[in-house]
Amino acid sequence: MPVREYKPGRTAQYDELVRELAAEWAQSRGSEPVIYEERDRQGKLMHVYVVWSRWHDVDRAQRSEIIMDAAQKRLPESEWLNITIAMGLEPDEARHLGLGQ
Amino acid sequence: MAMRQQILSSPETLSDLAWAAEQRFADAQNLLDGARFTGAVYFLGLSVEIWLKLACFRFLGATLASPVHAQLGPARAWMRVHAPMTGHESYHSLLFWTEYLIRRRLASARPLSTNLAGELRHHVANRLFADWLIDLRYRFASVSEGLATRVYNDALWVRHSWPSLWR
Repeated sequence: MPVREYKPGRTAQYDELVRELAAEWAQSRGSEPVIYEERDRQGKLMHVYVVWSRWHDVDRAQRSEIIMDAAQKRLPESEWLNITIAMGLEPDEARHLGLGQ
Repeated sequence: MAMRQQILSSPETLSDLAWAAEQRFADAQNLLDGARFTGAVYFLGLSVEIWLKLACFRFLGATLASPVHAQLGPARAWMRVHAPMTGHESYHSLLFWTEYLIRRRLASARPLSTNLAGELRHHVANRLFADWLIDLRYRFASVSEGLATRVYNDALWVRHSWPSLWR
């Protein structure tokens, strides 16, 4: 029997969150997630903030990775490669930072 | 407030990183003075990792109040395109941050001077990367005084140079 390499991938939850966020980016469908895009003076996308209740069980670094993976699915390379901050926040955290007020 | 709650209650910022780098470096100096060379090398590596992150993020326009975790995903995504063979080792790899800094500066048409890039490669990519990795925290290791001194001198270069690496 052949021996094949097994490479565990991301968790199902990770992939699901990337898919849902990418779909929201393409077409807003509900109240969440809310995606805030911040651009520089030249109009280049620099910072992305995503407010979403579903971040609850996801650590902060992974939230950033999920946002970037979703951005990569939806935005042209010249846009997503320019992002330097990708921050996922639960609604309470966003309120605490004054985001969206 | 308990330490865990204190740390988890707010996202870490670049300012937190800057203080932490100095604290780890001071701890390393004390360990060196006490001939605790393995612990000293571990803390020196952590300091270097932090200073490299600070240089990368500051170059990209982050302020001292900017959150750290939010900049990890973009770094990983950018490097996946520009240096896919350089792993980030859970964002602890000294080589990853060195390459990220050098390549992002180059891509932004603000490259490091040849001299500074050469010194960075010498001290970090060629030496510290070989002498330190985060996994040291879970391993018993025997570090000689000579190696610890070399790591200290390399880390000292990074400590003095990191502000020049992003300006």
